[in-house]
Amino acid sequence: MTGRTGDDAVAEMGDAELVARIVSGDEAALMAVYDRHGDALFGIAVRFLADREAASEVVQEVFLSLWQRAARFDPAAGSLLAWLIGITRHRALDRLRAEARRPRLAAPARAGASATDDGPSDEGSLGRGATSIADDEPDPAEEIDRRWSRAVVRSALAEMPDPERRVLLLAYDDGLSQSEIALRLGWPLGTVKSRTRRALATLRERLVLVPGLLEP
Amino acid sequence: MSRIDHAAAHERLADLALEPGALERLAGAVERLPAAGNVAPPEVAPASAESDEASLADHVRACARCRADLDGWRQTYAALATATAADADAAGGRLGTLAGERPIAAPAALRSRIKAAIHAEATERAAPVGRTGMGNAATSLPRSLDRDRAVEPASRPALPSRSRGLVPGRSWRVALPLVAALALAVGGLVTLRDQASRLDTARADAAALTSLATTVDRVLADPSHHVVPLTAADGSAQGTLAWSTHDLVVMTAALASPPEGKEYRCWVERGGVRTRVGTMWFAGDLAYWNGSLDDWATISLEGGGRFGVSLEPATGGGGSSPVLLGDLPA
Repeated sequence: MTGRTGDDAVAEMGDAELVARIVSGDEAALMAVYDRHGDALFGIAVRFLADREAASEVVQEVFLSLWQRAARFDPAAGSLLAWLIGITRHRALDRLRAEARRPRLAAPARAGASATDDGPSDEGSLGRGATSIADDEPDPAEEIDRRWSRAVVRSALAEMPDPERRVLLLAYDDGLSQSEIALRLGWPLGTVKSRTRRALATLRERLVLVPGLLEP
Repeated sequence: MSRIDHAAAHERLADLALEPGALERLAGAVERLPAAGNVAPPEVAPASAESDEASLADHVRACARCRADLDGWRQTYAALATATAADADAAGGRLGTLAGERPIAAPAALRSRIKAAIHAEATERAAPVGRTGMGNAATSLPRSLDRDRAVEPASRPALPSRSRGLVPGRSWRVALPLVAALALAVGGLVTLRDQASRLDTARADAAALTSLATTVDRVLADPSHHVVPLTAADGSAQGTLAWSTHDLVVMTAALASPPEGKEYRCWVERGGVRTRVGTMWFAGDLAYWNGSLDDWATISLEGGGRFGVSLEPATGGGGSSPVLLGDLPA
């Protein structure tokens, strides 16, 4: 008899099946989703907010939303991760808006400031980079979009296997065709193609917002 | 014009996703084609890049899934362009400027926080109609607390039993204020039992406290943990700071909720310079802050100096006299 436990079985389920179990009140299924996607969501949130505690709270709110509204997930509209990233964006923006309503005017935002480079904010909740939608910003929506996109891309690149990241950078930054990348790296063309597609799929899943996201 | 099947079109769209302008050209070609019902019969023509693009546009025009696919790739490309747009931070159009970071793992405590919050919510969902107040919050305590409650008076919820077994003798004595403060806070919540109007607050507090209990448990179980008493201005011990390799916990039952516009701020002071490290939260009668010391953090609690808590304006500024203070080990 194997030692396979119920938790192992849950951990191996597909996202759609896990969501169905969450709808029926299965806490283990929700924690399995957290184990699968929690780090990715936290990585994006902490890069966007530049505040570890605020990012933790956002991710907690995301999973509470999933717990309460899992029935609204539509697999046809996008993957579960894409859906959760969309909710993360909603919640993180709520944080920034709440912070911007405070009278304090902090230092100018450093869009794309690296959470890993900078460490946690020393300004308390929502520190460096957290005030970019204050009234004096020339185009807050554009700035927020840029900061969000950077947080997502930086997070995706950090999590991506090195071979996929290499082909992506050679194609995007150096403008090399897949054949040229294959020659440069000495890899079969088919390998380059499959790695490029996987890398792109990773970016797309994280960058394209799922329509019809649940409201808070 | 040669025809292209769906699988080939799907792959071709992905291949175009990194070619500057390719997706927009294709979208334009799709737009210029006649409506789906008026598409001319496909022609057979020699393969060429131009005819490939035309046949791809033809397929996309007629295929809803590929049109959605094209939209998705266009959004992806636009988001990449946004992410790499040059500005003060000079991403400079290159993805490479955004690469090179390590993955960031969520703090270990976050999992237990979420689990506790979900469990509290699930318990509330399952509660019989008519049940009110802290009866629900109390039942949301983790299993270890439930086990203890079964042998102790309900008005005195116990701490996780595991922490008792794992706290070394020396540390147990110094950690007592920490544990007592947590027990007091949980007890305080129980007194809210019949106040249905405070159910939401009580439920959130209960979730926070169960999460805190888990963290305290983990800190005290770490053989390398430290515990430092925090004293008030009169020299009496009124709180506790404890930390391990990964977690930091500050707890006190001595603080009243801050007035509007104020907050209790935690800081580390070295060489006369205070560095803000966190803000106290309140759950019932307990004020606490639960931070992280994993490799992402820049806080260091070793190397001397003082750890303090002071009442400061929430809008910024600082330097007020500490309400709690403790000496950090050298």
